[in-house]
Amino acid sequence: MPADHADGPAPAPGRARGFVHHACLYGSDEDFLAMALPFARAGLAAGEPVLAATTPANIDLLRRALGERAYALDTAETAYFGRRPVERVSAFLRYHDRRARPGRRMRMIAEPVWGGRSDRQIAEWQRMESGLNVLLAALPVWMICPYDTRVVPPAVAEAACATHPARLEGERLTPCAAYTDPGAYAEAVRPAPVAAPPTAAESGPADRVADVRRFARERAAAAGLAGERLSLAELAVCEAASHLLAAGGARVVLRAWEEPGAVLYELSRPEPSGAPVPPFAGFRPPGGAPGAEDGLWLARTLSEWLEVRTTGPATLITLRIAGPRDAERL
Amino acid sequence: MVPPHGVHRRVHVGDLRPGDHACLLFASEEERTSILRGFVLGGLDAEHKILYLAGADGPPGPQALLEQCRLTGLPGGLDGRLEVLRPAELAPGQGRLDPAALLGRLRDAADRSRSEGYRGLRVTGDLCAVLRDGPDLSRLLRYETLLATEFSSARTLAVCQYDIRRCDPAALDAFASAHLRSVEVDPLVRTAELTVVRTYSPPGLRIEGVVDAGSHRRVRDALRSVASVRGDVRLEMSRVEFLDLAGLRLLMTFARARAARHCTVELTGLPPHLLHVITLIGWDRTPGLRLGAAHAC
Repeated sequence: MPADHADGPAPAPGRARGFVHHACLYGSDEDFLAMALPFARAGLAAGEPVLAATTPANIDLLRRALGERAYALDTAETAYFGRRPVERVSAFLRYHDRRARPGRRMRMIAEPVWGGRSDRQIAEWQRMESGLNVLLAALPVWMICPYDTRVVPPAVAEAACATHPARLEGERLTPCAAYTDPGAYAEAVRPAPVAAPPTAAESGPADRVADVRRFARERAAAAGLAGERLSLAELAVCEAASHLLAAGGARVVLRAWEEPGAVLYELSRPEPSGAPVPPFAGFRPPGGAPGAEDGLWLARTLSEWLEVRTTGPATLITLRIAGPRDAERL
Repeated sequence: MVPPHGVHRRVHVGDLRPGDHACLLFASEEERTSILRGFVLGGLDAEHKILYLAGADGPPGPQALLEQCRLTGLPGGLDGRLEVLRPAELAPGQGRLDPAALLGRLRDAADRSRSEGYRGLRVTGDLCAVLRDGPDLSRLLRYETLLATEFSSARTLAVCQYDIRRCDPAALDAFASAHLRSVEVDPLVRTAELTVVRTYSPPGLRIEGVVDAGSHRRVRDALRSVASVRGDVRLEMSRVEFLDLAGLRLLMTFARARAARHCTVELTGLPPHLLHVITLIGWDRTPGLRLGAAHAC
């Protein structure tokens, strides 16, 4: 497990092993390069795929410092390399799938965007940072997540030590004493819950996806969605509901309501049916073989956010789907 | 592209009712045989007399017709229920078609079937193959017009076969438009929410309606039924109302299996949201998969 790596030296280049996840808190361009340059240079020299998903300014810095070696560096402007946590995980996995070389590790500099985010988004990204230790555990990836202390809120920089087993300063590795088990971290760090208002439309309990589909479509249409976006909303809600209905005898109560900019759905499975939904379920895109969390991944990907909560015996999935006023999708 | 002769209403062969006058536009013997089989079975089931107007390459008699339709294991007592008219009887003399005379023969046959106690008469034939000098457009059209008037309110139904490989496209359009409906095979799947029909040119399936957890098994079986098709397969999707992720995966798995045989699966008329989902997952790179023209909104 990643926590073990913090005790030893930084992994030797070139050898494939499990996921290694380090934070790097830096306060200047020099500090950034003191970490990034040796990390990227050693990887490239060893023939490893190296990705820098960071700010355009940092990409420039690193390219200039690498000189000729910069031709072999993969880069991504971090704000567009997975806009939301589920897309970020998919982007990492896609990079791995496309660039992996047999028997070789790969390196990634992955700097999330923290500035300008809502409290909910910050909590979601922090949970994902922690979740990467589970989601990518089996991959031969050494990932360093830089946090720019000049712009990152202090509480966010501090939390990096709870979501990464160790931190790097230059080439010096220090274990993070505050590192928290991802499952426990996900429990502790949650966005504020969103409850259905008393005026929400309600249907069910339903035990067939067909009933969910009609309700989902009707409410999305009432919210003003049409055409392709209406069909995608319908699909997102149905895939989330199918996840809850997969256990035999399960039923879900459906609620939907509108908020400025969005239509929200709450799917509530009142009785305990099947296994509880794991904290990082539905973050990995469908693979070659069918997976139990495939539909949940699609629902997450098609929603602005999707949250799973367990209260007593009940399991609740809440999805927020962008409404017709979302100008990015006009 | 939808051919001009493909625009009128389709009727499954099992749904044909007395009074129907439909065309059967076929491009392979496999397709014609599948429909003929449904036509004969439907006739036996409905206690209709079946009259086959055979061309030079048509079945010489009732037994040959049953063999052509792979219906050899039927119980006995079919004597008289199937009748085959040979070209010499249909277009005597110089092989010229006399529409009024042929219609008279059909009228007699209808009267006879009624007096013999049948509930109705169903007629089929490939008249292009009957004519020795190739299709006589004006005479055939005259016949079709008479037939349409004759049968619109009767206990008779007619399926007129046209081999689209042998007909001139303009003539084919004229023949097709003389019919209100075009007959096709019975669906492989027909439930309240989902219909899957085998198509023949090009070979494949047309999927209509809703695919969800309740119908994955049926879709898998339908795909299996075209697994042995040689060459490329087309899945027509423009009437798909809902297709869930697991259903989409069935199509991808099918494409992968075809790719292993160096063939492709083309999805045509794909609703835009499904194209979006396929691309989102990265399934647009599935070996063997071709994404055809999207469904126009």
